[in-house]
Amino acid sequence: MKKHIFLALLLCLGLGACEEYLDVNEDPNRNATTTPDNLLPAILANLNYNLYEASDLTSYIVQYLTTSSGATTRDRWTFHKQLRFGLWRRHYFDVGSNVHHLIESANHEEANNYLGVAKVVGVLSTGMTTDFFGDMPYTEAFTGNVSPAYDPQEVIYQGILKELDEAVAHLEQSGPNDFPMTEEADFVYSGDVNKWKNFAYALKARYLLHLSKRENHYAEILELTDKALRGTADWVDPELVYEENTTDNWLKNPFGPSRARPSWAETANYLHLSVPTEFFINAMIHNGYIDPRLPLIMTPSEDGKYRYGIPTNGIAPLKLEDFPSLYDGYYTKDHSPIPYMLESEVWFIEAEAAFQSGKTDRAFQAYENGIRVHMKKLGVDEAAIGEYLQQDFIAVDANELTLSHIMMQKYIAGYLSPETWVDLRRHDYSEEVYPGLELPEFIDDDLEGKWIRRFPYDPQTEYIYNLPEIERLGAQAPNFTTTRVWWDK
Amino acid sequence: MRIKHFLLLLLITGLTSGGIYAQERVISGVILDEMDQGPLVGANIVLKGTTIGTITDAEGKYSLKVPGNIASEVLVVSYIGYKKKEVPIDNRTQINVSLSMDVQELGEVVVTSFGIEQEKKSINYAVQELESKELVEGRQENLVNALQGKIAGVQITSASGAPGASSEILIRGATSLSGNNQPLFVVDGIPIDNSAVEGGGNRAMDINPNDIESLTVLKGPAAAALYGLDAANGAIIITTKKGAAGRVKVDVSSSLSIDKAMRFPEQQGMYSRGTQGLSDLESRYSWGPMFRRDEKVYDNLGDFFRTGVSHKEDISISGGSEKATFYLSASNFDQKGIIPETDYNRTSILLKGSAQLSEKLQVGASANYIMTKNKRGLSGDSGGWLLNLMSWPRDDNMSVYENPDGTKRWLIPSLGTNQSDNPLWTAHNNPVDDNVDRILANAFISYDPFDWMNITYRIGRDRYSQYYSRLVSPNTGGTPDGAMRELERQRQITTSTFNISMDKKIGENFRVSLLMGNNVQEDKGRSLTTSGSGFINPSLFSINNMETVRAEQYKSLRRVVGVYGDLKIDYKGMAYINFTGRNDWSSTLPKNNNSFFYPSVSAGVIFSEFIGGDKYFFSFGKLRASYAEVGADTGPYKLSPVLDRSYRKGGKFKNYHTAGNPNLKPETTISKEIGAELKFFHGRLGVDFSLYDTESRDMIITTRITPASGYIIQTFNSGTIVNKGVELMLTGQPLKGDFNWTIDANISRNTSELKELPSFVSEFPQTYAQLTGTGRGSSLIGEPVLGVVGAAYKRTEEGRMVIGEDGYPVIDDEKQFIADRTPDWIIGLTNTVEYKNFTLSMLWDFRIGGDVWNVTKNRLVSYGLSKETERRNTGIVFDGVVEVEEGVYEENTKEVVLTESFYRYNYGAVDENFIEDGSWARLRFLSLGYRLPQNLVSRWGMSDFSINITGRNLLLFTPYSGSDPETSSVGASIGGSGTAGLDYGNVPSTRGLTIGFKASF
Repeated sequence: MKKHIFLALLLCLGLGACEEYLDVNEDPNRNATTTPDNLLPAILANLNYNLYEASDLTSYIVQYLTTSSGATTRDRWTFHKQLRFGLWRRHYFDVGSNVHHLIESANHEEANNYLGVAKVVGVLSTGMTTDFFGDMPYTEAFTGNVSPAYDPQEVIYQGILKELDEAVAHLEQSGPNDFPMTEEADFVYSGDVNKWKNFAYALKARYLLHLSKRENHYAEILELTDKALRGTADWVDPELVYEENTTDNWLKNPFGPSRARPSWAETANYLHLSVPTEFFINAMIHNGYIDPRLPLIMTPSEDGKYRYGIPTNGIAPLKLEDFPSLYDGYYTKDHSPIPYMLESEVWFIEAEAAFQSGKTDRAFQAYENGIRVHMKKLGVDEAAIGEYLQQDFIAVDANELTLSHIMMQKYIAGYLSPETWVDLRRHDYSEEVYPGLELPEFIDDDLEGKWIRRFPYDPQTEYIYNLPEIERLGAQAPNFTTTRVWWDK
Repeated sequence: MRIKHFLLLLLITGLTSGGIYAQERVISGVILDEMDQGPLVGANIVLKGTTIGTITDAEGKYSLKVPGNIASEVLVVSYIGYKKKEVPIDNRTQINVSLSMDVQELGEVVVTSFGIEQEKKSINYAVQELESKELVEGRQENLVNALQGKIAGVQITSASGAPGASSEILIRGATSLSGNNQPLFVVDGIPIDNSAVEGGGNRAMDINPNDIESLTVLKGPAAAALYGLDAANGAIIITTKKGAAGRVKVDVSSSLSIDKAMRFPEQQGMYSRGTQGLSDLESRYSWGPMFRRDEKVYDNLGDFFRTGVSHKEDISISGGSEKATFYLSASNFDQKGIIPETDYNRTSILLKGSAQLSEKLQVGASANYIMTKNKRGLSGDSGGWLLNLMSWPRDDNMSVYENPDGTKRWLIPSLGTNQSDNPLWTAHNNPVDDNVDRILANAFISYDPFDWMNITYRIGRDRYSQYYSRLVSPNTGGTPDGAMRELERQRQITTSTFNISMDKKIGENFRVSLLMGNNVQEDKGRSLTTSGSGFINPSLFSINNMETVRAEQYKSLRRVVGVYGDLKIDYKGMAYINFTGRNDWSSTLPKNNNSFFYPSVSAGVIFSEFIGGDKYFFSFGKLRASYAEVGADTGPYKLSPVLDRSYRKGGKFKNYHTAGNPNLKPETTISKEIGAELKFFHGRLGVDFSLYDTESRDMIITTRITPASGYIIQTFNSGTIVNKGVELMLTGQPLKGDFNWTIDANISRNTSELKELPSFVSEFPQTYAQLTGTGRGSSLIGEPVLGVVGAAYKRTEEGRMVIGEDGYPVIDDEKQFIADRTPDWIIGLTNTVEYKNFTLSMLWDFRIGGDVWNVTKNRLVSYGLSKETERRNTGIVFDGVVEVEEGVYEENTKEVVLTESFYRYNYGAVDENFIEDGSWARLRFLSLGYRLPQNLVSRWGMSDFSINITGRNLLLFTPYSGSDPETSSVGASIGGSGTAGLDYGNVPSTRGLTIGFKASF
């Protein structure tokens, strides 16, 4: 060591010819790049976290849940008053930038399988994010530009639909010479490109349906759901299954009772201080008949009751123990899976598209299939499913079927899914479609008594580091979250 | 310089003759100042040509035994700043000597860059030096705190009253928004690390203040230019004590201190736990009913803190001959903090020696080993853990943190681990240990080929290893299974310096000195963090007993090579001009941009030499001006993007949060300074005045960026900060003689302005200062750097508060710049009075202006515990106006009730309500010393014995309502504008008393 210093001294005394001595700025701690198989796992797992945080916030908006005090940000929709809004970075940094990196790496390896998968998961994250925020950087994102322009949502939608077509093309071109995609790299489908293709079709159907207020894509949606559900490969729910019996907080489902929060940047779930809402329980219990799925997603109180709370009102004078426990349900164990998309959703997409284009038979079939596959997924037996389908709040045939039947079943099957918020907005929180849904009483004054229609951009970054775009979009207005995103107009 | 003195001494005393005297003699006497006949304490008396010598005591007396075999007949008497005298003994046994001040060295000699001693009058920039005595009199064990009030232009903020707490220094304001603003610390020519990590102390506090002989503060780039890129924020040059030729001197000292928490935020004791006026024991809020008379209201705050006790022992042995000197010291400082289970211990051993190998060759070396052990009550990375204590409901006795059966007692049993812990339980169960083993070593060789030339090579290393562990016991709120984190860290800074200096008279009038040198520095770090979660067996707190264990390694290396030159021209000791230049090459910058040169020039004129008149009244006058540039680089590995590990399912890699920037270049700080130094009444009144202007350009700032770029953080070269200020130092000696009174005053003001930020950044928030949902310590363009941005009430153009139709004030949608945390004036006033054997000294410390953001109170308000919430449920008509139509206002007349929801969602949501004036007047210390009479102590075989009693923080006058306006929520752990002036549940500062003695043999 000291020898080095002497050496440097001698070398550098002259004209500063000490290049070699100073050439020590390559990071010895971190790689500069790697192969695609080392990039995909983190993308899938980060996507999952993105979905979790999205669920954690939207579940209170769509009235699956409410908190015991009724006064938190989740209840009063004071997102615009928060210090940070993590969902923004969940997409851009945690998922998006890595997808961008994976595409570069996969292009380098000419790996069509990775290119296809990267685009599918990238679109899921981008689509979900634009549904929350509306306009946002897309064409200039990930380019190193530190003040990227926000693209109109229309442009983003055109982009993600195109990316899905490209994804399908890549997956179709995928061959045995591709860079290997093992179970270790792809713990969703173990490298099965056909399953990814199904998922790509379904996603495209989902995003086309989001445009229902503006554009009629029902015919294409039905083609796509057909390909996804009745294609060459069987549909398998894309989901990330968490580890059982681990104490590693990184490997626990964040919705579980451990309330795993492995680092400061994560948010612990709030289920310990939450209860189901009146609207949700009323959707699950009809005149004393309890939906067989209800005991599978929550545990009744000790006296066997499924009491509910009214959003923003708080539960006083009752105590939390008077309410069902939300933990250890199908989605709320430490090792529960978090689905990227459920088969039932695809069936309900088909049901809605068919219904809206007058194909009521197909709509009814899809509606019933949606209910069935969801019940099966949660472990309801055939007999109970049969009994459920005979209930009077269930449409028994195509003639009886209403949009509300479809959307309410999609709502139930979408318990904790962030996709539900899109549906509610698409149908304008309509009481006709969602009977009994009411605007909570004590939402923040800034919202001027209106339903929330979007999330604010991340106050910790966008309002400071990309202010001109925020100003251009008028996103500083306190009631910005009541304004509609493009597809909602 | 020092070396030259030594050589001179050697030459003078070098030739011994061999006569033999049979009899031992004792010579004694007094050494006095010729001018005022006052005693000179510590003057050197050496028998010429021998190693036999002594120094004078506190009364100027000495006594020298001369063995019979010594033939020398001459005493050499010397004292710094005075002309040396040789006095023939002539068979006398009583020799009194008067020394006259050396006109050549009228002022003091101060230590500047590279340990070069310079006459103060030849220096063309402001410089202040503190001596050993001034550093220890306030009884501050953190060296940085010992500078409080003593140096003009320096703002010191001690983070808290916790043992081992850090202190940050800003010299002439912050020059960097995100980087380090702490000055460079140099000990005996070797830069040392003063960083603070994991909420721990600033590492300069490892230095034992008792080992320091002098400390010089080089305030700006002009002073520090030779130190290159680490000295943009000034430098603190420390010279440790050394042995002197003469007899062996032994000093022993010991002290005992007690400390108590000084002040607490005021709590209300009228209302009990609950919400909306109703009792609710499942709540943490104190918005319940009024306490019944039979209910006990607990003083949880007062009960929590204990009396801190600390003691310190020091021993030093020094001495030597003309051929060699040594200094050996050992010290132990042991402190029990005011928070239960917290303590701090520092053991330090310093050995230093030098030898004169030949007339021209000297070598020396020193090693300082320091071991510190600090146990902290959990303090996270962002402060604030005492908020939990301060908001603890007062119907509950917090001091009972366990149930009778030894299990943990929860405030709200039904919530189990989903609630915050009792801080007392935390203090007992979740300790943070922070231990450091450190060695500062250096060696030099110095050669004088000619009497006008010196070549010195010095190599030194600061190396320490740190062990940090943080335990989260099972059953901790939020972490039921427990967790643990251990950090093993090593840092090593190696510095090699090669200097050639020349100093020659040219003609009658000029003296030219030139220094040329090379400096190579290597800063190497490595750390291993092991974290585990889930204890398998709940009683063994070891990584081996954990379910999941994860390790992370970090290595860093930075190398800097510099060459420099320093040319001084001295005209008749009346005018000085000084040029310096340095070129650095840093490994952390891109290769095409890693070389940078920065010059400085300074000039001074002693104009009093040109004007005649009464030198008694106007003894000295100097005008000076300087211009300097200094560069700064960045940390290693900031140029290109890399990958980080992913810990989620599947593991492998993801992008690292920080983007690279391959275009970085050095940042530049340009400083201009003018000043004057005036002395009157033969130096008994001194005035030193400086004006400065510092501009940092192309700041290397690490900032958040939009994640849409693909990254979270990036480093840029952009932004400008301007600091301007004025410093005034006054020294006076109103009384001299038997009754001696000296006054030192340091007065300064610094204003800063953030001129420019990267184009896409509209505000620069401090990452660790985002203390409420709306407010943050932050900097805005056009505003002072140490700001706060947060929520404020809406106001009309005339400044009237806008009141809503409901009768309550309206909160503005836009966040505003609501506070400037920079003090307007910082004043330190030291008075020292000596009478006979008594010394009384005190330091008054004033801070005028400077806002403090009292987030602690904000929290107390929302919890319903702040004193001011006692006004709840009473009526009020807010002073403001109601908007009746667009732009038309009417006086508000509506009476409303101060409800819980007003306090929580209106008053408590407006950060502006918690900005307070942080001015203070503080008796920082008062110290009384007594030196025992000489005849008494010599009977005990001592040469000196003194006792001392010191009170710290005895008085504090402040309009601030919180615990102490001197507070910093994170302390020195972070860079940039830091967190000074942010009160966020910090450990209160302490008031204390120290008694001690010092004996010399």
